[in-house]
Amino acid sequence: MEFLNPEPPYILFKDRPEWSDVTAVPQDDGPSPPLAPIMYNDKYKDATSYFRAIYVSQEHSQRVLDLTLEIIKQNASHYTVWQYRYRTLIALNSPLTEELHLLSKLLPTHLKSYQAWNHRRLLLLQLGKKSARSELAFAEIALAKDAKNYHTWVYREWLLCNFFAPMPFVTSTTISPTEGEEPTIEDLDDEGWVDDEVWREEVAFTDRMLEDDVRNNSVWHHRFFVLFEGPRARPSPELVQSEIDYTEHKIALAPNNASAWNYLRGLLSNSKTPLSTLLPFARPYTLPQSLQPSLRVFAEAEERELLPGENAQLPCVMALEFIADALGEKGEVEEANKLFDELVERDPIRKQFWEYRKRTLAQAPTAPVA
Amino acid sequence: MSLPSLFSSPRPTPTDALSTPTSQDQSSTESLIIPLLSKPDTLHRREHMMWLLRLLFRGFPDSYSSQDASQPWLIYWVLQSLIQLGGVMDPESAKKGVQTIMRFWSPSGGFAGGPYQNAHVLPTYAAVCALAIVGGRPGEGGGWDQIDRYCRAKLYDFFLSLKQSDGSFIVCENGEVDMRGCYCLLCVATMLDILTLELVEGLAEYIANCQTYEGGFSSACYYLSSARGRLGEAHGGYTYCALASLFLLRPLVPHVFHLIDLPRLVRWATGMQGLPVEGAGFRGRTNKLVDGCYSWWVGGMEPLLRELVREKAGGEGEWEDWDDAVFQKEGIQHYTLAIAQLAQGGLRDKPSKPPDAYHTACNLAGLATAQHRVARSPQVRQQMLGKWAVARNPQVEDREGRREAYLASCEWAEDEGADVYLGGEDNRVNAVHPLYNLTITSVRKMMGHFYAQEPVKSSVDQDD
Repeated sequence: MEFLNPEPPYILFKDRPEWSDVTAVPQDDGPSPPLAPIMYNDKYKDATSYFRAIYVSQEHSQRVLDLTLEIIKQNASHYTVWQYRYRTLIALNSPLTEELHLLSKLLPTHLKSYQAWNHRRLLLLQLGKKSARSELAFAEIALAKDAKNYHTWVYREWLLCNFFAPMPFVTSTTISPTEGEEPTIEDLDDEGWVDDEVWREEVAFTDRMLEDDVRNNSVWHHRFFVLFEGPRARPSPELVQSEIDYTEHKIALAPNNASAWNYLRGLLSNSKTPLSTLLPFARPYTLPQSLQPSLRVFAEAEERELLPGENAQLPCVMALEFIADALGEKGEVEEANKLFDELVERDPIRKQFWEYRKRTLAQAPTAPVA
Repeated sequence: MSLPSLFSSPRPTPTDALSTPTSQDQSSTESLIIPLLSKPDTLHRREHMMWLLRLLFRGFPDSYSSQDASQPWLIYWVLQSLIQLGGVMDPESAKKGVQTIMRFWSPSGGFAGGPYQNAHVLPTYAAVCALAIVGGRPGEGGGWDQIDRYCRAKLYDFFLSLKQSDGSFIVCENGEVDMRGCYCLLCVATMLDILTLELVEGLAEYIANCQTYEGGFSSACYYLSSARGRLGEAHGGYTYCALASLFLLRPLVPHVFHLIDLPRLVRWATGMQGLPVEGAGFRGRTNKLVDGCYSWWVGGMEPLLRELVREKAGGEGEWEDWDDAVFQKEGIQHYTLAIAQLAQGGLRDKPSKPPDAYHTACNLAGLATAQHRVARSPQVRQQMLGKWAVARNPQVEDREGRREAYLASCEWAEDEGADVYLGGEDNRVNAVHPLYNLTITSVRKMMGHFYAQEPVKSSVDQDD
């Protein structure tokens, strides 16, 4: 229904009465034509010429907020304009919640802008923990638009660390942090050290996201971050076992999913569990499709329930690699090498890597599990 | 298996009959790539050069306004691409280049994205790399001489002002911390001889802490009281920056590579190379799509990973007998030539995407790494060591690690006779230095200037 409420026509800054007292400063490329110039359009040239003028005069006023917003809309990666806008907001003592709302409208079209996300982070550092919880919801909305957006995940993980975790210790350096930059956790209030509920909800959040796309690696990383790196990280044997079960089920759903195998390896290595513990689980994924029906019969007899799904395309490279590593770990070099040879056949792009694995095995045949 | 047989009737990525957004994107990308897999591997050198020269002299179209804060990058990408394709800068254009780049210098110290912008680490790296290509002419108009006179001391203060208590750096005042910034800062500090222990304190540990369970590196990490939170998953761009940074730090922090899990890194990096059905290009993260820029960010790590694997295996010896490349290097060349290249000039992310300067530079750097074999050369190191002249200022003692920093960058050399050109030697592009994405000659010449050393000629100086 946009035609009922059309955008007002754009007015160049040179035609805006409130800017009539300012002399625009065109980009100065020097005496001779520069190399690799950009052929800016008139609208952008106009706005940035006024920005250069206030950049020189160091004006911090309401109209500067209008101007910087306009430039950001046209070019969200203009970090100087963002920096200037932030300074102006602080100088004017502007209500930062309003800025946050404005940014919420802008961000979905600029999800790949480092600067837009950094601006949001700066605002949160000012607004404090009371605003942080709704930010998790905002990040979820952003992820609905782009489920693998790197900046959004980084922002979400930063929120969790900065507002919902114990105070970071400062490392051994004599240099003091840049003012206003390093999070100070001044918001650690009487709610205590760790917001258990927030971190629990994060796990449920990754469950939902993996229901949507079990191959989304960002989600797997986030789950690892929450369970094994965050302040609630308690890699108890129970947690490790329940994560193994969880991942095994996801692998059964779609075995050719590197994200799930990598997560499995990550949690085994994190908990110093030998890969060979999971040999019975992984074996079926290395057998061809034709053998799966008979496998099913055996499994039923043994009352094992978790098997590759009926549509699984097997054998799967990641399972072959897993078994090869597990055997290598146990010192069964010859058996492991056979599998690496099979991997050379099945995954010729990584031939060099599989050969390298064979060589390293030969050098350290009975390396104990780290 | 020969290359053509790899690419004839390739199998699609298995989906196990479970369709998700990832598998849908994957399959549409594969259907764009498959028709191009049988294209001949011929580099359209002339068309690329014409395309680049147009950008250099006539300029970038309006759609590049979003790069207004990345003007040094535009120049650097174009110049480096031209040099790799065998272009030679005429003195007049080089002079113009220096003039343009010096207008990005911010009086507060550091280069900015353009005139009337603030200093920022990333454009500083791009400007210095561009000057490595065009700045060598001595005298008042010479870029290196101007850096000497006006910029080095201020740059050092600028860098120090960005340092955080955890060892990392923000990219500009009030800016974000990420691995690109750390890498760019280390490159500049190393090339301009302003690398000190004070500057890099805690950085090696910070970077190592960004290695994720997958083996690659994240953009940043957060020091919690009991642990480290890796902010973001393992990513090709950040992993290159992290690995190259550790190499640049080694002269001052000799134990850097004990801080990371090398086998896990090698496993992750090799896992990023796409299947034949994806043209054997690289992706930047697990379960994401291939993109020509990762031919450099991931493919470009090949010499670095190979070096570490060799060192770990005990250096020389039987390893010499192996084809010790870490990746399928001809596959990378095929992705560049058949999939990423446009016949009318320019290189791109993948089919359906337009070509741009960034993807052109990255694709060509990846192609170069895949064609050549570049390694640390003990002979070159010995030669440089023999010629080492103490300090630019004889009153000043050599700083700790200064000589080692010089050697660790300048000892990389091309292993002649070990190059492989898919599609024939006509496709040759000049080799790149694995730590900088500049030619080895550019790095040696510029560092020779700033360290006041007589540069060692590389025996295959075809790139200038």
